[in-house]
Amino acid sequence: MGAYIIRRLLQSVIVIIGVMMATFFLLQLTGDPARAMLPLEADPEAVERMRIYLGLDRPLPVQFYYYMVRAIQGDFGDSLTFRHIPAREIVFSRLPATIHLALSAWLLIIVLSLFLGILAAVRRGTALDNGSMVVALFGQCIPSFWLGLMLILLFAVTLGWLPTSGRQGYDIRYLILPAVTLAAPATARMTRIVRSSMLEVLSKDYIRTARAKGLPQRLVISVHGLRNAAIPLVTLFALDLGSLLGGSIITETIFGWPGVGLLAINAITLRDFPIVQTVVFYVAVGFVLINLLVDILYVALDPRIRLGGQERK
Amino acid sequence: MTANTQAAISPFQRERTRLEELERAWRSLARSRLGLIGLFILGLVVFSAIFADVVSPFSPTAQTLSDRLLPPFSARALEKGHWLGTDHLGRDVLSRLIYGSRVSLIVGILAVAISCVLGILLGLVSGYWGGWLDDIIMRVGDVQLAFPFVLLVIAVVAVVGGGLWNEVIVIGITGWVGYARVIRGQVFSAREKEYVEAARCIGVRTPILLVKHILPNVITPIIVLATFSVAGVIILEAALTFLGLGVDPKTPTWGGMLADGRSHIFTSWWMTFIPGMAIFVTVLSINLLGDWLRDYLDPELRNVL
Repeated sequence: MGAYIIRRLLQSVIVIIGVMMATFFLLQLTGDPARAMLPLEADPEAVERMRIYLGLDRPLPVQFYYYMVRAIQGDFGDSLTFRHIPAREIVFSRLPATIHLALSAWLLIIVLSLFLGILAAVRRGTALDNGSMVVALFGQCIPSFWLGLMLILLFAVTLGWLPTSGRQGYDIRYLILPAVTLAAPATARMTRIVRSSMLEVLSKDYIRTARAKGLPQRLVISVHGLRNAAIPLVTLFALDLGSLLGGSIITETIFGWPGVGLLAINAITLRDFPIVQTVVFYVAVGFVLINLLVDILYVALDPRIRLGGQERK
Repeated sequence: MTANTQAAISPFQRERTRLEELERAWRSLARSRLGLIGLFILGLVVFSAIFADVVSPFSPTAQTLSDRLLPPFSARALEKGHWLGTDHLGRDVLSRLIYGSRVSLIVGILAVAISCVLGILLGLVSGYWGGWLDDIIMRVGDVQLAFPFVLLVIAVVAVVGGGLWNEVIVIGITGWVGYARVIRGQVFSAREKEYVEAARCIGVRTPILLVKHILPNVITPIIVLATFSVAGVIILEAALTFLGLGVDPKTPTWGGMLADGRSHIFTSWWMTFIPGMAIFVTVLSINLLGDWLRDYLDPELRNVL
C-alpha cells in the first residue's frame, strides 16, 4: 500500500508540473503580455521597457525557468487591474466564498441523492421510483445556468422570497438558490448511480439471507446494503467536489456570488491574465489533490484494492 | 462482431445483412417508446435547423421596435404572427429559436466529431503500441483532466477569442481524453484476440489492422459516449455564448437569447424561459436516443456510461 501511495504521489507531482507548463503556454497564446499591461496608446519605448522589466526580452527557455521557479511558489505576478497587488492575494481573498458555496452544494448532492436513490431502489417499480428517475433524467438535461435563471424568476422575482443575487456573509437566504443551482446536475446523476448500485447490492445473496433471518428492513438496507454499495459511491461523491470547484464559475456569475469563479470571468473580460492563471492553477491543483486523496481513501477503505504494482484503471 | 466474418460473405450478402441490421435497429427503436420520442424531437430540431429559411416565419434579425416585448400567445402577438412573442428589439422569438438551433447543432456535432477522431487515433496508438508513447499520451490526458472542462474551455476561448469555429476547435480538441481512454482500454484486450493474431499472420499492415480490424470491434462504447457528449457540448456552447465568450451576439443563438433574456428577467419571463426550454428539450431528446442506442448496441455499457 505504501508503494502505491508513493507512486500516486509521484504521478500527481508530474501532473502538477504539467499543469504549470500548460498555464505558461496559455499565457504565450495571449500574445504580448507587456502590451496587455500598458494602456493602448503607450509608445513603443514604454512597451520595450515593460518587456525588459517583465523579462520578456530573454530567451523562451530562460523565461520558462523563471516562470517555473515562481509558479512552484504559486506566484503568477501582480494583478493588472488591481495594481501592485499580487494576483494570489486577490484569489485567496475570494476563496472562502467559493468554498462556502461548493461545500454547501456538495452537502446537498450527498444528502439528496442518497435519500432519493435509496428510496427509489427500495421501492423499485413504484410510482415513487419512476417519479424520481424522471426528475433525475430531467435534472441531467437542464442547463444549470438556465435553472439558476428560472429559480431567480420564480423565488426572487415572482414570489419575492429570496434575494436575486449577492452574498451577505453566511446569510443562508443568499446561499439557497446558488447552492441548489450548482448541486442540481450532480444530484441528478448521483441519484441514478446510487439507485443502480443499491439495486445491484440488494440482489445479492447475503441480502436475501439477512432478510430471511428476520432482520428489519431498515437494518438490511443500512448495515448490509449501503455499506457494501458505499465504496464506489464515496469515490464518486469525492470526485464531484473537485468538479464543483470548476462548475461554480457559471453559477457564481449568474448569482453575483463574489467567489473565485466570478473573479475569473471578470478577469477574463478585463484581460487580467495573472488572475486567470492563478485561478486556473489553483483550481487544477485542488482537483489533482482531491483525486489523490480519493485514490488513497479508496485503498484505505477497500482491502481488496491493495494491489501494489498493478496499473490503476 | 462483424469485421472478422465479413471476408467470407459476398458483397451482395453483405448489403443484405446491412439492411437486416438496419431493420433490426428500427424494430428495437419502435419498441422503445422513449427512444422513439427522442428521435422524433431531435428529427424536428434537425429539420428546422436545415430548413430554417423555409420554416421560420420571420427573419431572425428583423427588428420591429413598435412590437417590442410582446408576450407569447398574447392577442397582439398572435395578430402579428409572433406566436412565441418578441424580444426587447421586437424580433420574433420563434424565428430566432429556429435559427439558433443551427449554432447548437453545428457546435455539438462538429466538436464531438473532432474529439472522437482525435481520441480514437490517440487511443489506438496508445493501446496498441503501449510503452513510452502510451505513457506520454496518458500523462498529457491526466494533465488536461486536471483542469475542470468548463474552466479550461473558458480560459482558452478567452485567450484565442470566441466565434463559432474557435468554439468548435477548442471544445473539439479539449474533449479527446475520454474517448482515448475508452479506446485504449478496449484495444489492450483486443490486441491479444485470435482475429488480430490471424490478421497479423496473413501480413495485414498495422494501420489497416488497427482501422479495419480492431476499430470496428471496439467502437461501440465510443458511439454511445459521443451521443451523450453532443448533449453536453450543446449545454456548454450555450453557457459560453451566454457568458459572452462564445458566438458573436449578432448571430441568433440559444445562449445569446438567454443572455438577452437575463437583462429583461424582471419584465419578460419568456425571453429566458423559451430558449432554455429549447436547450432542455433538445438535450433531453439526445439523451433519450442515447439511452436506447446504448441498450441496443451493448446493454453491458449501462453500468459504465
